[in-house]
Amino acid sequence: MMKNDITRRTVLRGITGGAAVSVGLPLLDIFLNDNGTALAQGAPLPVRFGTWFWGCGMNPNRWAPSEEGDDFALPPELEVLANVRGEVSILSGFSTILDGRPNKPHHTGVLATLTGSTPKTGDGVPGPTLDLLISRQIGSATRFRSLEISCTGVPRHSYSRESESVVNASTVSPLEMYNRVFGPEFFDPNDGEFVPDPKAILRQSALSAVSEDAARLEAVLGTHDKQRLDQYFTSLRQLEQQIEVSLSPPNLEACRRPDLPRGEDIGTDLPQALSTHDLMTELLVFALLCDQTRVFNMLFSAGLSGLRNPGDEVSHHELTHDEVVDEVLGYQPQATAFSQASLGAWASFVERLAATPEGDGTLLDNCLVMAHSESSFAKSHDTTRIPFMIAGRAGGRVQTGFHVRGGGDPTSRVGLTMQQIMGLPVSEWGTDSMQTSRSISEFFA
Amino acid sequence: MRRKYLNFVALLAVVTGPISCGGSGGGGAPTSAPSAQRSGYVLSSFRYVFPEHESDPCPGGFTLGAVERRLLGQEPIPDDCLDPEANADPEFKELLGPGTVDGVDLDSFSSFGEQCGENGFSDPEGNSGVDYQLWRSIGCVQGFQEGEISDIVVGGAVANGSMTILLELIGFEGDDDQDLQVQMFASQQSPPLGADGSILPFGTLSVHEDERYHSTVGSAQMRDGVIVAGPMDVRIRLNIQIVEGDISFRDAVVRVEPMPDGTIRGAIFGYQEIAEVYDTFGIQVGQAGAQALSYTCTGLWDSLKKNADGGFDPATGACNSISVAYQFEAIPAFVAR
Amino acid sequence: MFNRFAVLAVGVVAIGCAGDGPGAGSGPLASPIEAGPVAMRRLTETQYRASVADILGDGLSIAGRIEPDNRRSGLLAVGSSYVSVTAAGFEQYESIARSLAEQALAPERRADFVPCEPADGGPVDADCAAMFIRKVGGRLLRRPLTDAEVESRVAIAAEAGATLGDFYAGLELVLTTLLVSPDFLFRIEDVESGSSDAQRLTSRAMATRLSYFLWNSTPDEELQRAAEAGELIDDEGVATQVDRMLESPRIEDSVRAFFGDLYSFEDIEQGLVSKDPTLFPAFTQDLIGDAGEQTLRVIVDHMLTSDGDYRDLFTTRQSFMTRKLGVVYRVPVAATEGWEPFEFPADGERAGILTHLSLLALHSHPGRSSPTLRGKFVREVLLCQDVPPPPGDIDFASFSDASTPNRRTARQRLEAHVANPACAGCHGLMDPIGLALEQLDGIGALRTEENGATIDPTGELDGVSYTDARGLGVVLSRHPALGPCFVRSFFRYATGRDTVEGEEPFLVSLEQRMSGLGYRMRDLMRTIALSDAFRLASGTRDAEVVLETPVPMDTFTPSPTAPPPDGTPRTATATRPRPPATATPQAASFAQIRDEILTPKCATQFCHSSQTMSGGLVLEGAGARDNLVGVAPTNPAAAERGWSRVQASDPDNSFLMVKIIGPNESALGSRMPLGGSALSSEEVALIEGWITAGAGR
Repeated sequence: MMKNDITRRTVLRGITGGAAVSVGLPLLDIFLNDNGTALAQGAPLPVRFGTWFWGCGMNPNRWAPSEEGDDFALPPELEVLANVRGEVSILSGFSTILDGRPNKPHHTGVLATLTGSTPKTGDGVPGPTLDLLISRQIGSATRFRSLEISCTGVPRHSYSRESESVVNASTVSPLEMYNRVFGPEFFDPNDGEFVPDPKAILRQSALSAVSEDAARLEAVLGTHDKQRLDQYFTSLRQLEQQIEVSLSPPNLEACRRPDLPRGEDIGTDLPQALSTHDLMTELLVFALLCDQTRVFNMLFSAGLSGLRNPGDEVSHHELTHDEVVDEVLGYQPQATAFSQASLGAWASFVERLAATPEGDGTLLDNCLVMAHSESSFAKSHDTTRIPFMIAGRAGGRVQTGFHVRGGGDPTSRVGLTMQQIMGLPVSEWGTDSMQTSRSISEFFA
Repeated sequence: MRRKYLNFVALLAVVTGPISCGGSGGGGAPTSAPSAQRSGYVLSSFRYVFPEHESDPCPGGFTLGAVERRLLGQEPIPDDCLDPEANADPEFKELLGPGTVDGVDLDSFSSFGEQCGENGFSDPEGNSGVDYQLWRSIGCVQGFQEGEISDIVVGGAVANGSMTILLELIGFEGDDDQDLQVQMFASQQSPPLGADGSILPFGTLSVHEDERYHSTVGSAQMRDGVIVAGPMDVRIRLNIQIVEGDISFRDAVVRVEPMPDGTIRGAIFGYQEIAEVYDTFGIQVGQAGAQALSYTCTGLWDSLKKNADGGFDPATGACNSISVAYQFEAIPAFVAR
Repeated sequence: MFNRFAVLAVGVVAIGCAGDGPGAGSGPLASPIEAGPVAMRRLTETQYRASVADILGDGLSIAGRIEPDNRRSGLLAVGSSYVSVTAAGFEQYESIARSLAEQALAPERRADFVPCEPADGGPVDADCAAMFIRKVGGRLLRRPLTDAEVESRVAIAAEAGATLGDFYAGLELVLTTLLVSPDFLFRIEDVESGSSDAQRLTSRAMATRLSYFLWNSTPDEELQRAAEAGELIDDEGVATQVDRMLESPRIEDSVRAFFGDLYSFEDIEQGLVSKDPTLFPAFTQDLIGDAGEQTLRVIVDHMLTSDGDYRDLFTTRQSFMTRKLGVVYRVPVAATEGWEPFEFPADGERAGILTHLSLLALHSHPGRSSPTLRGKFVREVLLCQDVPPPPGDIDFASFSDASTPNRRTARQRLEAHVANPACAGCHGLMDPIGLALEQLDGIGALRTEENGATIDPTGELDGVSYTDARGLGVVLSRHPALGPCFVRSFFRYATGRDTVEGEEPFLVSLEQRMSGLGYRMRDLMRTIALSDAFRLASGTRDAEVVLETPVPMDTFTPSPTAPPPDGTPRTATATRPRPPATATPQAASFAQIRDEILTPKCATQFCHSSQTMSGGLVLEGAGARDNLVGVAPTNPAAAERGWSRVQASDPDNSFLMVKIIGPNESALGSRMPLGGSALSSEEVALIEGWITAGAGR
């Protein structure tokens, strides 16, 4: 670290003498992150991981296909995916196994899925969530370790958590997201000559002084506080990393600054959620193309889905409990309309990524996106048979478009598989009945 | 005949609770007996009365404004709005024929129209002598028609604070044949608006600081569910876009019809000085307005003079006021003095 | 680490003997047998803003999104001792810091902070920079800076000043570092080193704790002086400062912060309360903002200005109004702008803060009111009673429209909760309370009917009846749990943590004292601030067990040019302990099982206590064993199988075992404890062992 500092400062004087120095390749090496994963021309395109979450599940008997394999017939609730069925794999029948632990409705199912372990208390978070495990592996080369987005307006709606009280809050406003990612600190390769901001380098120097101070603090803290200070350190390093990345221009062909989002309308109405989702998807696509992040979490609606039609008294979640199952149809029409609208948004998300060219293929080809919910049949808080839809080919590492049945296996199998696909050297994951060492081999055929 | 409006009375009980006491800036004492019920309202719409006609009221077509003339390839008429008498607009169209107006014969309420001519309309029951001479002047001008620019702008003005009008019924308990009073006020405040843009009931609005905008009190009794009060002098303040001015009603008659849901609808009829009418549409709105609404200042001024039916001035031998008619709706509000 | 220590010899230990008569509450408080832990606490958003305003001046704008606070055990104040700073949060803090630094060091302001001028007007001046750093740094970090800290920052200022050619640009950078320093963002509370007995907070830590408790902001200069002079170690020194601070109008900030936290008003401030515009056109963000302010004003007026009793907040008709609020309350408001005092009529529907728009709108859905949410609020926040979460395995097939043919009012819609035994236990705690408030709709406006049916607001709260919302307020104000809950919540707020068992005697005596004193705010603030429980600590908290997939280092070879991946946490312990294997059954006495497990976890207020007797089973007291051993279960499916609740020496035929492990047939009912955490494997083993050994006494 010291060596880097000196070198940084030396370069600093050179650059900030006032002249616009074009940053050549050898100099670039110094500003690479500690991982050494370069983005020079010709380097492989990065693989991104994301989660896409919707609340209050689906109707298992209308969602899960009856046949396994590639040629399964699309059941009624998956018809929205007709256009992209070749890009999406369906995983049905994977369950959260409670082991007698409390099932906090609309919550335990998703936290168990994302941490591999069923929490011992209703609000507990047994470990860092899946996206954080993956971002530790791949997120340190980018400006943002990960991006959390919520489409229904509430920042604390986020399932990206280090622990019960350390939550990565979601961005809820497209304009704010734009400013954060594509604001003054973003360099559009189409803008012309790149000039690193001298203040940025100074900020990095300053942050290392903060690091040093904080290191002295460690000595006096208890173990819990040390844990928390650790997380503070990690976040500080992430900002240093972010500044470092901003010192070199994004180096991906397909990158350009998107248009300013217009007509932002934030709230829990279904039309608001859909329009916010559209705007956010657009921004996310460019954030990925410009390698601003490689991990994202898109929350379409929270576990307690508050989606609502304007003018209606009741929301999605209330309907799942209050609405009667229609005798003729065999399901709850209004509640199902909301879960279908959610899946429609998922379909449009997949379509957007699939329609975005990158390299020789599409952006989706270089992504792995796990769509999931916190329950299957929300009316009875059912955390068995949790729905999963995995989109993307992870840069060619996996195949897609099939259906696999979990047969009651724990959802941690899905999380384990995601980690392995993203290159984490893990052979098992989870605890107690959620512990597993079997990934889903159909991905790797 | 007694008629009760139960819902309305129930609402009254809410609306006419004691005006809040204590606190700085408290209001003054009400002008009538302390025990009298006071129900307050804020106008949620305020528009011209639009007559009905059996046949085309403007057989010669509508007045041509400068824009229309240009489009028709005609020569523009010289039209100096600040000096309307300097020119003439022989083609200014007036509405001189018959029509049905849900209005009143002002002459049965006051003598202000004596020694002035009139060309009355009929009311829906077929009675003649309904005074609404202003419509004679503007009835064949496109911009004043129902749904056109003037209607839209003025219609929006009551909601956005440009022309807040308050009305109070004093001593009204919902029964026919009981003495009550009506008073109207301008307000300098904007009514509270809801998330859907509508005016919210039960807001508190203060009467205008300037007492000229507190009308005189009109007495009446409700008959068959309709209150007709007057003559009273009413002055309304408007601050609509570029226009700042008054609408002053001399010897006005205010008609109020309480509705079962607690709102009221009504109308106000009276005499407005033609100079005041012209100040708005000729001086302030001027050429821009004339073009937008399709009239000429010259023609309008001349027509106002010809149709003036009140306020005979012996010195000039001319009448200086013209009968006007506006319809309104109003919702419950607290009137603070 | 908890250091158990003997009872402190501070004053006479008088454990809860004070009665309710005169003189009650004037005796000394019981001391804690064991103090609670300390943990570093992140400044809440309000505290951040207040601290910045106090140190850098009022007029600075904070552009950015401060990381959301976390609610834990019902309070953001408790969550503050668990949160850290996430990457996005740090990014925002740094961005806000840069902006604040720029504003503070702008030419028109800098004289307030920079006590010198750079020599020769040049861009570098180590001495002047050092003066600035010590002055502002000392206030921001709430302590004098060490020489090392000053030096490193002087170096930064020099580097930046030279690079950018501007002395003040260098100071800006330094100020930024101070504003993101963990010593600023977190309140570190040290204990005096040395004795293993009662660990006292250091003088400096007391200053911070007192300041954020009583004024919700950073210590002022007088308090900092007292801190550095070591005055806050002894009772007199603390009392002097406490009394000084209690005299100041700034205690209003603390009262507002506490109630705002307790009542979740941050949702109002952040614009997160939304209602459907067609159903509630009168609802705007301005309205709900006024509504929140109305409640806080009433609280401040009642509890500070009038030095009133907390319980009367739920019956008081004194309030304040703005014209915006007048629209929804349907009352005239004379003041054209701002606030005026207002008194609800004696014969009206509203009295007490439960009938304020703020709480009613907060605890409703966007499209309609919610008796359940409102009832839950009363139980959990006002009465400190846990409502168990819904069971995870409800069989909703048993509900149908036929059981609730008439669903026009909320009471009718909630019939299903009452009819089904799996739901009635908990919903019976909440729904009746909320139903009393149903005449106040989803934004708190008055209505007498819903969908054409008259609303019935009658009900009862723990055996005491009421006929409407006002009546509910009266009953609530007399509820024995109301005052104690307030006292405990405020104590948890002050210390930023949950209470510990060893504090019970202290808390009980505190509750009794406050009961005698009439639950007045200043009394409570002073009593807590001067108490042992507030200034002692048992040490720091242990690390949370966080499960991580161990990365087998021998199978992962990092690329030779790069060090290991970023982000590996720096915690000392590299491996996490595996959960212990199932313990071998130990023989235990029934008394032990009853006292350690059954009474605390099952015989709770609304379940198997002797008052409620859920399912006809009491699991506390002397007769508990006789209610179990050899007794047939009331559950028909279990009885059919010939099980007893406990079959001596035969765990397999003991229904108790089935219930605590979790039945796998719906006919056998839900796992016990209902809704809460299941018994641990050790506890299950203990009970099994007891049954196997003969289920003796």
